[in-house]
Amino acid sequence: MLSDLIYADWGSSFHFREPGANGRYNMAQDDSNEQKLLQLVQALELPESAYQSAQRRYEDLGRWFERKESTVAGNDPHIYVQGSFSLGTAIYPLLASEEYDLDLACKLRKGISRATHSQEQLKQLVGQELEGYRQFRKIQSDLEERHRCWRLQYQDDLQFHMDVVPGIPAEDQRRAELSVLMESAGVERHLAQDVAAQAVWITDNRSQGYQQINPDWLSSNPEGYVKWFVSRMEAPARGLLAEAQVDEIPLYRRKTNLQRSIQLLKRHRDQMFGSNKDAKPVSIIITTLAARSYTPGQSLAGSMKQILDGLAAFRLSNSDEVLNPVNPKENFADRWALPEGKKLHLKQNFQQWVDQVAADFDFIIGSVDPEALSEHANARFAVRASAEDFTKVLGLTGAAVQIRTPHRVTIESRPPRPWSKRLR
Amino acid sequence: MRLSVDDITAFLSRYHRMSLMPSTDGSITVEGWLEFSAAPLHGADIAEAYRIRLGLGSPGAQALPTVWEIGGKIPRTQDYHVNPHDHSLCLGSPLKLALTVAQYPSLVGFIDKCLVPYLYAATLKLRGAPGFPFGELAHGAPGILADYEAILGVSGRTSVRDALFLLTLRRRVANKHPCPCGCGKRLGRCPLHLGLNHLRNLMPRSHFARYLAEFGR
Repeated sequence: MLSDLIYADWGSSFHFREPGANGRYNMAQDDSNEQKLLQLVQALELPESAYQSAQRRYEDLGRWFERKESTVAGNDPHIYVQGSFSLGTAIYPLLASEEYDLDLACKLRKGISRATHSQEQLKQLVGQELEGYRQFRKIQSDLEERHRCWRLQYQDDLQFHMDVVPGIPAEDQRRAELSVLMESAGVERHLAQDVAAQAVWITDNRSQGYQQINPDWLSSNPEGYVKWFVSRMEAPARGLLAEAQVDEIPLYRRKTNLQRSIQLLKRHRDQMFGSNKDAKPVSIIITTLAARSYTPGQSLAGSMKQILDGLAAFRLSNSDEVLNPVNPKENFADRWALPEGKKLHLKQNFQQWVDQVAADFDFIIGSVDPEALSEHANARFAVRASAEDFTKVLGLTGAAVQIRTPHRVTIESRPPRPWSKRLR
Repeated sequence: MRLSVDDITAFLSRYHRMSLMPSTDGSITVEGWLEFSAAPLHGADIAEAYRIRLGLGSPGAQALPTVWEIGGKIPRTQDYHVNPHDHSLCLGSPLKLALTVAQYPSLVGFIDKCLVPYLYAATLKLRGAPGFPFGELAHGAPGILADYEAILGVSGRTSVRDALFLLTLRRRVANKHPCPCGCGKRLGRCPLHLGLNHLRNLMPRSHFARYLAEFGR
């Protein structure tokens, strides 16, 4: 079944690629393109052990919150994963010294509401138990309070830090509201209701009414986002039939070409913005735009092409909006228009990233020069794949290896004569 | 030249070892290895690569790219035509660069027609050739004068100013003026008018006013 996901539908046309020397599209070339991309993906993908390690940690944390003596034992606490670990799109950090982000949520499902508690109270309630956990597990670093979460540094075989976001379930009225909003944005009713059921309210210590009891909490829905993402990953018929199995196979094991494409895009982004992390395109925008453009059933190269076309269309439209599919009133790109976003030129940097990743993908697909491919893999994706690796890939699949020389320029008569201003 | 998205992507495609850098100030910068293989019509092939930075200005801006060699191969001295104030490469006189870009209005065009010839010549010079094989200009005002004389087909500072002025006028109006070459005839009666017509077809008249103003100083 997994192998089905690796090579799907060879019938799709690769119109973006030039035909081979004989003028026809070449099955060997299709296969080699697939293999070139898999060379990159394999270097990014976290091992099973990393996911299991993450799972052990949040289950451990969950048990702590559920224990008899816990101050929130009566609140029916639920600890779950959100972010790239929940979507199966996590990748190795660029530098060995960097840490993984394990995004967790702590939902207190009973006894707390916006009418009875302030955001601060919820935050502190969860923080208190986290501090207890920190001491219990003898974690060295202090618990760090951030705007919407608590951060716990974990010293283990892998360098993780856990960001725990406290939240409470949204009430029926809010769920109905969200469901309607999603349906108006084109989400199928059953999915919309399913998604809305997972919505939560979260805290942000920058909000005006943080310390008072008031309804102005932030809306969030990480579990709902995962459901939406899965709906994009699966073919519609398969999605419905496989619903019973959805929870059984963790997303990170399913490895669809949507997930792999997102992994490639994120790594390209990390490498391009290595020296300017504050201005980098954010993962939620990349993930949402990718999932919006993707349809299942293609090869990895075909999926990437489809997703890049979607990114290009977004870029050319000069749009300022990437609406949250599970809460269309939320714009993931809202920071672009704020003073901080303008100062960092977030929108322009996003557009430039789209241009660059498209060019880099086109190069990889079009190149049959192992040295050039190796250099490109290293320079643009920070993947150490040697020329020999690419020679093997090209050789095994029967595609011809060609060392390309740079495009030749003929210097016509009377080119500009160099000059310079005089030293004053 | 006003760069479009297509311009930049075509450039990234052709010169794939160059890539866009994150922007910190709203301007567009491209960096990397500029790898080329070039030869003049009757001359030796040279294949080389230089680490280059291109400053393309803000999106939609209309200015020629600024070029730096950042790999330390080209000495930052005036005999390599490296500008003393910012170490950018001076690839030609402003008018010549503008005319070249008008003929090849894309980023790839600028690179192929303005930068690659310079790098070809600089490579030969680094390998021991006495000067720049396609010629070079003296620094400062004398260099500009010599170049504009060659481009416009006239001789002397006054003639250059007059010719630039005539380029800002419509053809029929200009042709009634005395020819700037000093032959004594109306411009329309002197073969020079054909050369000036050709130049006028390459760029809007208002652009020549810019070079007139710069030159007049």
